[in-house]
Amino acid sequence: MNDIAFSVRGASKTFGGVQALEDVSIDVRRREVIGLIGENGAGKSTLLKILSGIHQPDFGTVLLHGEPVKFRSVAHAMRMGVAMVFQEQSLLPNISVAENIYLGNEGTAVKHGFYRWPLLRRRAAEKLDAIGSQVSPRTRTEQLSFAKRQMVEVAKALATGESSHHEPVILLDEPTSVLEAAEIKRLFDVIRELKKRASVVFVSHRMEEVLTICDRAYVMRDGRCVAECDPASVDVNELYRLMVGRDLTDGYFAEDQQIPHTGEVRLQVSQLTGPGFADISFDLHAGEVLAVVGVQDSGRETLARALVGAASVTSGSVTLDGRVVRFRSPADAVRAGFGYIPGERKTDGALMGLTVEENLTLAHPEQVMRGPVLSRSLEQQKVADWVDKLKIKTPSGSTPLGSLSGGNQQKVVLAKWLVDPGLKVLILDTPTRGLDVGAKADVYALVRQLARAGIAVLLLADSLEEGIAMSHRIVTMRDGRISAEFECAPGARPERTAVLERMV
Amino acid sequence: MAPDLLSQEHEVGNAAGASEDRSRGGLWARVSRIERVPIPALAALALIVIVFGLANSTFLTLANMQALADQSAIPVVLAVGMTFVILMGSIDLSVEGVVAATSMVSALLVINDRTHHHLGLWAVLISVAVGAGIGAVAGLSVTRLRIPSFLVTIGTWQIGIGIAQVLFGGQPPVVRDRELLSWALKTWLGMPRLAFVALAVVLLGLWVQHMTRFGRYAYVIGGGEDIARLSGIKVARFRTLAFIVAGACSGLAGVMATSRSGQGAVANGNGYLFLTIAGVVIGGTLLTGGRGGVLHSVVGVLIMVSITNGMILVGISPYVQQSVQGAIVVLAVTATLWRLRERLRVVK
Amino acid sequence: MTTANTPTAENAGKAAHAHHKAGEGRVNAVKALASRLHQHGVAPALVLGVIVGILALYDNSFLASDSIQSLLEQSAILGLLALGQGFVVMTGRIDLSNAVLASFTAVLVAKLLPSQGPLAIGLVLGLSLAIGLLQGLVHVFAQVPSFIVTLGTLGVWTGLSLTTSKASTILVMQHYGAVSWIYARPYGIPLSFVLVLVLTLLLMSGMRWLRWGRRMRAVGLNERAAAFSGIRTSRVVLSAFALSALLSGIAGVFQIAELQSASADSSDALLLPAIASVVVGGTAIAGGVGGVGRTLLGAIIITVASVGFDIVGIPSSYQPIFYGLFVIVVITVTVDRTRVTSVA
Repeated sequence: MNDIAFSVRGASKTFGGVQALEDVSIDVRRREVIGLIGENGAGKSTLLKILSGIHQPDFGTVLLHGEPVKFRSVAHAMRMGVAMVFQEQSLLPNISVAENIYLGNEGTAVKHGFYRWPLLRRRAAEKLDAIGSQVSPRTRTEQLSFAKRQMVEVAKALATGESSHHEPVILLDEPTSVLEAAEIKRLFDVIRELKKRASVVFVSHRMEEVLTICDRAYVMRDGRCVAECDPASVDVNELYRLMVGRDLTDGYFAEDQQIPHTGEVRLQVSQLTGPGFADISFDLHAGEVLAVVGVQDSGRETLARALVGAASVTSGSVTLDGRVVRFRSPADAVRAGFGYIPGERKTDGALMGLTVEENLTLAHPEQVMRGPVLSRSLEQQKVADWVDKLKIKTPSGSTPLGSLSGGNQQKVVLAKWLVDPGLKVLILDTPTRGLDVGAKADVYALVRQLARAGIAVLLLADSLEEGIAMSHRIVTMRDGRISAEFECAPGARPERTAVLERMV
Repeated sequence: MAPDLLSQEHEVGNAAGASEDRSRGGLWARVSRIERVPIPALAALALIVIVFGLANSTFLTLANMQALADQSAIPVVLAVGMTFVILMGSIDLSVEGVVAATSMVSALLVINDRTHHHLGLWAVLISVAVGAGIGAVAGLSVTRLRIPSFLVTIGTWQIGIGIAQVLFGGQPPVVRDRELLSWALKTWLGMPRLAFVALAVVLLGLWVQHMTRFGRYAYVIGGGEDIARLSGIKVARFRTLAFIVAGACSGLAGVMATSRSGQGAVANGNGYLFLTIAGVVIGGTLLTGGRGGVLHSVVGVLIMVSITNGMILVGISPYVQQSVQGAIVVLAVTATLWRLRERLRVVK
Repeated sequence: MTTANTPTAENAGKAAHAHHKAGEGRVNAVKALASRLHQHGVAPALVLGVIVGILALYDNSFLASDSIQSLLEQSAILGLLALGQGFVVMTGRIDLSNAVLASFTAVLVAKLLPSQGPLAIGLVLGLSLAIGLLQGLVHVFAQVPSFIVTLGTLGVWTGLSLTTSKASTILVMQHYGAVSWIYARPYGIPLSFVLVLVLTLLLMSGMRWLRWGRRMRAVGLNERAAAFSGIRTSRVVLSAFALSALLSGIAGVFQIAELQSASADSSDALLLPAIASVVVGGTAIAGGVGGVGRTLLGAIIITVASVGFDIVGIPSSYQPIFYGLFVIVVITVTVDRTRVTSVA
């Protein structure tokens, strides 16, 4: 029973110069449940994307039943018997369960383009029985609850995986993140059923789940596989330590430039509730960096958007400098002195087709206007100033932003808010994501500078280290609520494991 | 086996139980979720028939029913083809142009006063093929050249009009083919034969929708193109096919239009675009794709034709019809898309 | 036409970015020069030159001042519609109702001129502006795709102009002088075209010197990023629709001046030529890239091409086929495939 069904040897992958995965090797044995754990950005999802055929590794090989394989696509991987259960479900709501289970893989149930419904439904029912789900194959998928749809999703993965010659490998990407406790228990039953006929890779950021269901687990950090462990005999604290890793070199986060904020309360959020977050209360002082950390779906991105008027709020209030504000759009927030850097730089933050100058003055054109018209000379002069000050590497101000490197693009996006002398609050959603190390250090130094200038900064940190090192205070979010708050003075930073425990 | 059966029943009972039902809204919400049959549209049709029947005694007469069947036949055929395109999230605005072209083609190929052809039934097939050909141009432009369908089909609309104009050459061909003319003039069971042609197309459409890969994948592609592609479905091929099917339906509609008017004319397609689109939309086939079906569209067209017919009976100017149909398109789409509204949602 | 952040689109973006990085350097410099020339409308100007050259060789009376005058005059109404459409396309939308609206406003002007005199023009232009705002509001507020809103209103205005005109041609007898001056040719200069040119220059400088112009491009290029930059994107989109309808109204007035009459569908056929003008002028159908002046150039190209049909001796019945194929071909050639994520 110990033969290896599926494995990765020495896989590496870089995205735009950033190493997402480095020399990772894992083995999945027959009828074994493998756990993958790690923080955000540890490389779990990149590894999973390589396993499921979404990405190909730059280096390294994927072996299926001992044979090297190159998956060209998800569909290809599925035909070879490796099927992924996606986190954002891949079922179509508007067709029946049976159709979903065999979508694109109908086999003899569709003959010469014509459906043989009884056959299709019977086969679907068999797969559903195999995992102990009693959903009817005739049901239209949207009528099922999320948890039941997930069962169908597993049945689908089983069906596609079993269409190959070997026993299938089923990849589960954070399957428990939106399930209730009882539903998670059922899912675990399903995984135990699956184990009788398939290998399973289970990805989660919830430690206790991995320990409960997995036969073996791999711990990932910074794109590497740092440990392999046996859940039966592992020490939980040891696992946390493995996940958070080593100390970074001094100076990287410019911690010496952190000064205590003395400012008054600038932003007061009280009991803010909306779709995706609830009962959020905190104060943000002038000159303070407040880090918000949390796993995916913790609700912090939505909270950030709600603060700038880009997502709706159902109750609670936001007070800016003692006056209650209610933003109906980001434009309202910008006029009140907010700046916001969205998490997706390429799609939401930067306008690649506009020039550096146009991007820089887009949010506050009034800074480069004489009367009602834009002044080219004023604009060029202001932009040249900022390009200088932030050391933005660009051939000229009239270069399209898209031809700059990621780090320089991000500096321009930041500078867009800095041109406004009335800037009060800056909300940064993972501003260093996808940047190389040098660019990250530049952004950190800039954030310090802004804080010292009295701007209140809310930082959605990309990693735990970043959140702890950069902030005066750190709040953790879990399931849309604030789960803990830590003071974060230089030299007296909280333990990473302590923070991590409140996140996952 | 027995425990399994038991638990299955338990599951079914649970699904229909009160706890899950409550979260799904009231009776109306539940009824309108039965998607196989367009219940809201049928209710609207019934209401309209009752209102017009009460308002005007001639509305429910046999003669008017015949007129309704006659007026519905062509848009119903158009709507069947259009449904598959819209189910996939595309749109076909070319119907008037394709009807114009194929009306002219069919008139010139049967016995007529301008040419010496008398191809009979072959003329019908050739017209359908011409329609399918124009549809293929549109479909390939959308899928291979990646141009939005509404632009492409405005283009093929004009191409169809152009073909009709070129064939027209200044004198409309008057049809002398008895067989073709009898489609519109003679009746079976008291109903014009054209209505039976339309009925046959509807039945064929329903069968295609339910039993064929093309029909089912129309829902798949409209429901989630990315998922379809991830599942290895050749989306471009099926989308192209949808435009070909729509073109073929328009081609048949062109023949029917020739039969009704007794001649080939560029204007034979006029007015059908709005009637069809308004019908499809009001029947509950969503322009965003994946929802609705042939039956929905047909009921929608019947609603639109009844409204038009009723308005004329009540004495409202026929010129206003296009305005009403246009407004209905906007209102119906607004109503169906309303719940998707969200801050910063980009809709172009 | 909803843009969704699908994982596949994102990956494609990443791949494109990586690819871009690999081939930097010289290629970039050439590209930059090409794009700069492109931004200044060199391509449509070249196309225009070539077509004019061919026609001049074919028929040497083509370059006579008389025929040029009438040609420019003919391009005026198309130019107005194209300018309006150009703004809407710049934001990534489309206005299918603008040609029909021009017919409708012409009918209204013809109806109102005898009783109201010159005031009729003001009334009709005010109404067109309101109509444009209404169409834009339905689009941005209800979040219904623009092609559906304007397809519906295309039907609405068609019906209304049929009703208003009772489907017959209205001849303007009284107060025709209030508009007839538009088509005067003082010293041989076609005033109608000069007016369009002045309007074009005004709009060009608006695009260049006002924040509005920059916001328009930002919205067309990336609406979400524009919104996160504090731009009220719906207002920008609204302004494009308002402008388009207002220019349709002006086109309606021009049409009365030119023909002294109006019927329910006099300008309907200009929808596709106007779209063709916009795309041949080099405004990207996906939005964000393009300009005002080049759209006018596009309208002149389309007019020259249709005059060319006559010169070469192709019957006018072939013209719709030409426009249909032309739009498809031009969009195919000009569409920026990296920016189109999903086409339905």
